Amino acid sequence: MITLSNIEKVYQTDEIETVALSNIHIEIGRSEFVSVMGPSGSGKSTLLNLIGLLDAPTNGNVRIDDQIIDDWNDKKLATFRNMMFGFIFQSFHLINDLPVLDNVELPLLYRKGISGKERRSLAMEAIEKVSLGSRAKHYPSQLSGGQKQRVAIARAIVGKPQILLADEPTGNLDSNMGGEIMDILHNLNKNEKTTLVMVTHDERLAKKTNRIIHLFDGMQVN
Amino acid sequence: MFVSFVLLFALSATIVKILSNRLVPLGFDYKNVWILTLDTSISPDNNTNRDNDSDASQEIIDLLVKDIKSMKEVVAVTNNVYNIPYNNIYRNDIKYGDKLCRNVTYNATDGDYPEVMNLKIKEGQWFDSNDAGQKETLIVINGALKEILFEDESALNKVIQSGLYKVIGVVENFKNSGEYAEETPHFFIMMKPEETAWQLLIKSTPEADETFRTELVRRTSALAKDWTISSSKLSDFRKRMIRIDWMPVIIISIICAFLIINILLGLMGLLWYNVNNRKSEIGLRKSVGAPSIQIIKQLIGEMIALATLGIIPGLVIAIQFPLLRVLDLKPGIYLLAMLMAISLIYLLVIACTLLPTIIAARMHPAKALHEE
Repeated sequence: MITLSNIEKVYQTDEIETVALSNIHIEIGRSEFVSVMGPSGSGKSTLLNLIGLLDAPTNGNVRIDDQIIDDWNDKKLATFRNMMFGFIFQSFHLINDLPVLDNVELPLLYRKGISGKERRSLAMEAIEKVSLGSRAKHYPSQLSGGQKQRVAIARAIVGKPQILLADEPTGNLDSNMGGEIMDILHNLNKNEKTTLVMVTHDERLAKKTNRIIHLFDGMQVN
Repeated sequence: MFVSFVLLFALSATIVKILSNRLVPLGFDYKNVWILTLDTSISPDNNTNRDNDSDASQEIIDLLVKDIKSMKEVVAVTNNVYNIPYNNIYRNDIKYGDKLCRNVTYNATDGDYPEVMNLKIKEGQWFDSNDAGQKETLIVINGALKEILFEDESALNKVIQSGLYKVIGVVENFKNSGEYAEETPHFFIMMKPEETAWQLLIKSTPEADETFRTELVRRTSALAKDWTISSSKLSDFRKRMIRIDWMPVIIISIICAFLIINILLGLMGLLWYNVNNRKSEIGLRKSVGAPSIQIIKQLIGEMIALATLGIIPGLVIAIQFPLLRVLDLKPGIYLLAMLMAISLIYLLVIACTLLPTIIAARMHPAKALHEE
């Protein structure tokens, strides 16, 4: 499903060159739930960004669903991201001026051939899945941290993506809330057969996934 | 935005009005026309004036005309009293039946005027020396005066101003204030034999230059030794009039430019602030599938919506102008001015928002997501 071959990512500024990732070879199968672990600055988020096509590698290539993502233009990448991926971020990234329903609808706005009515119905369905049906008209500022993350999950799954990428999804939540979020992610993986890649610092959560990829100083370690 | 719309509307209306005036033919040819102004009263050695020695003056003028016509550059010469084109000082109210036309400009002239000014007679005829001695003074009117006094009726042989004037012709156009002004009512009076010309209008060949002017003044001054004679070109009067016509446009343009620059700077600042505050949102939208062009469209769309909020109250005010007939302009001019003002504001808003939005939209989503 996801293949990263000989990946290198270098951030270049005027004065210094920072190697964020080097010599990365990763293969993640369909419906796998994989954790990425490592200390701060080890390149976990960079790796997730490369998998999610939010950033491009300096060297090497990324293959998603047997397609080599190389020299794709902005529009093609955007369409592919929209169809293939769902993103869950540690800081939720909800738009505060929009109610829950509109936040969840967001990925469907950029998908062709979906009517407004259909968008609403799919968004409500996703909100129900994360048990927030009664909060659809609330604004993010009216929600707790756990509820915000559930909205972010609803937004990530509304387009029925094949791959979910979660960057420390429980990082800003207490253990109870974190547990709830993990239950939702496990259910998605088990029931919807969604491939999941999760960055986490929490070894306890990582151990519950199929596999752990360890990173240290931008390199894969066993 | 509201104030700049109102000012741009005023500017556009003025420009549209001036340019639409330009579409109406001038009705005469100002090129190669020289004006010889004859001042018979101010010579210190001469105690006579126009009133008490008009016969003698006219004799001198006849001599001058004869001499001027003998110059090889001269095509035609005409006598003129009161107004000359581009210089309208003399005005009169003209009455026909219950219709009154105020501030009508006029000049008295002879049968050579159409040749000198290249006038086209639309109806009837021009007067000549054979028409002298009639009960009423013969006049030729322009289209604007004809429309006010007679509308669709024929103007020919109508006696106006309580039996003083008789209309014998209508010229196609005669815009005595120039091509950028509206055609205002004007009439040409047949000069009476006892009247003395104030100016001689001379049509020359295109080759006539400053040497011709010097020679013209020299020869005429030699013949009329006690008079003060000065010459000028009709095209110089035209230049002066154009400056007057465009002055309001220049003034409003300067105010508009100052105001618009300030507004655009404010708008740009607002947009930079807006974009910087929304980098994370832009990153999110890109990560969920928005292509860069969609982000650009969205941000520009938001600014256009903001501009529209400023334009709407301005539009409400602008619409009152044709509805309440605030100024004597055609509704089409207002409509065009509104469209011009709206288009210009939108164009400027788009131009201002383009750079920050392109920079924001081109940002890599991973980078944008981390900037909060």
